[in-house]
Amino acid sequence: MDRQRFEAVVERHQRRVFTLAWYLLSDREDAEDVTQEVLIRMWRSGGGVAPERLEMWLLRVARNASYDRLRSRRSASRVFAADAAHEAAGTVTADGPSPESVVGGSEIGRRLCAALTELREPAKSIVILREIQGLSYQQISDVLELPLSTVRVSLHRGRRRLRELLREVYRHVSVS
Amino acid sequence: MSRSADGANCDAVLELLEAFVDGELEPAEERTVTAHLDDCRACRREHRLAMEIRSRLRSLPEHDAPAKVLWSVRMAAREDGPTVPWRTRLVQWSRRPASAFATASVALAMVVAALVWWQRPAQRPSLDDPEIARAAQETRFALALVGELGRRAALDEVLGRRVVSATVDGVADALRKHLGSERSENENTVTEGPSEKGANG
Amino acid sequence: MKARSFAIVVVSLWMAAAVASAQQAVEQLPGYFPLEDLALFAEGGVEVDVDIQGPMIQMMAAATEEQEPEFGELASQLQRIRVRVGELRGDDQSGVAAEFDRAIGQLEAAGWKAMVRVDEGDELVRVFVKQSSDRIYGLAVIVNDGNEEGVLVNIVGDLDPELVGRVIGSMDRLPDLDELGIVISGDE
Repeated sequence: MDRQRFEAVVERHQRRVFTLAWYLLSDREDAEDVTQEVLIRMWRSGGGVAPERLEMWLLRVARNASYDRLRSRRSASRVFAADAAHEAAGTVTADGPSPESVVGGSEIGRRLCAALTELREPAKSIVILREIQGLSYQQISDVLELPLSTVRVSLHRGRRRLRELLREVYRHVSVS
Repeated sequence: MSRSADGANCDAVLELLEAFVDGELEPAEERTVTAHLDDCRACRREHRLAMEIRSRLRSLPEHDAPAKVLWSVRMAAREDGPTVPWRTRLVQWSRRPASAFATASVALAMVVAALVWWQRPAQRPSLDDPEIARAAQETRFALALVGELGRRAALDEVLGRRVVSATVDGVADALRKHLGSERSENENTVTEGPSEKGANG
Repeated sequence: MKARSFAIVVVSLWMAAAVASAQQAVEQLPGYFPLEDLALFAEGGVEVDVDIQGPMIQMMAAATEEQEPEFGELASQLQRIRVRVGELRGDDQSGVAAEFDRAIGQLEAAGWKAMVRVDEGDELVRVFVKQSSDRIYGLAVIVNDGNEEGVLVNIVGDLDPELVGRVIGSMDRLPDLDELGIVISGDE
């Protein structure tokens, strides 16, 4: 891959990579590091990935790199999961603002981000890829190397878990 | 476990709810769930909540990676095979004494291109143009570097580790005011050390 | 037809001369400093060389003025941005330090005032400014990371200090500078 093409690919895909990393990690700086790592890895791969598979490849590498980072956080005994009560109080965690909060997001949006961090894998990645990033089941299946049926079931399981986590927040939702 | 008038089991319906929200049920299942929701207030509430959460998730924003990250990535790519940006190459090349005519030609080409470009009313410059986007990133980087050095120096100085001297009235203050709250709260310490404050240039 | 061609050539030459003089003009601005004259990099040691000027700056200003008005306004006040990163000249760290002393002397002799100074071990940072009572004409940054790598920056323009401060202050902080091969923290 020559530099010109590389830069075009970076421009085109950086948003996908950074968004996935940020929602997975709930930490902007870590997401920046992961994005950089992934894009440089692509450069060093020397164009060994077919263009039509590049986006899925980038997302897979970004997801794996994010999880490596989460694992190292855990092994360093750092608290990963954002404390829901903390978030509920509207305070910014030590890990920095959530992807939602930087755009002046609503309280519900912030709580939703906090609840997302509570999800287990692969549901968490699937919810982000499907609902926030708009990938199809097939694309998610390619990224995560999971059967389509697992993708579908995990997505529904993840959203159901979010419902449980957010039921209190949404007590006001009225029924017509 | 409850059962509504339509005979459907609440647990069974709730099990299908997310697929129902996504419109992925078989027609028969869908009819069953719809009928149940008409009857069952609790499941209707769950359905509303599921719809709301899905909708909220879909409205969460995607974010561009910061310019500094992209800058850094490009730097790394360049280090693999260092090359000079075209602008620099052009300037360096144009400075060679032997190429006066070529310089004039290139300069002319640049002017004509710029004029032609400015004449196009519908097309304002945009960051969609990779060259402009790159120039903006590089400019941001240069400015951010100044800010970062100022911040780090200022913070370290506050912590007693380093010396930062303010030499320029007004200008330094204006810059520093925006380089971090640590600075403004500790304004008095800025001029510690071999200060030349007041030596206005 | 011939007359028209002649007119085009004359106009073209005039425009070329205008561009050449504009370039000349940038180099005569008080905030310009030819980074090459500092001779701080080893031969062939420059790894990054950025130089933005002329129409590109105007286009950048126009492209950003709507969505980022402050950055766009600052860009419209800029004349030239140069960034050079690379391996420093000098046989060892003391040789590099001597070269930096010389370069600092050069800048000070040219009327630049150090606004930020950091000296710690082998690390050295200076942010120099050229200014009047209410305008910044140029910023020059020199960094020796203590590991034989360096950064030089020259920002040239006719800048509103408040605006520079606001734009810089609103920027995201850089990621670890050591990602760029620059280490300046050294807190331990």
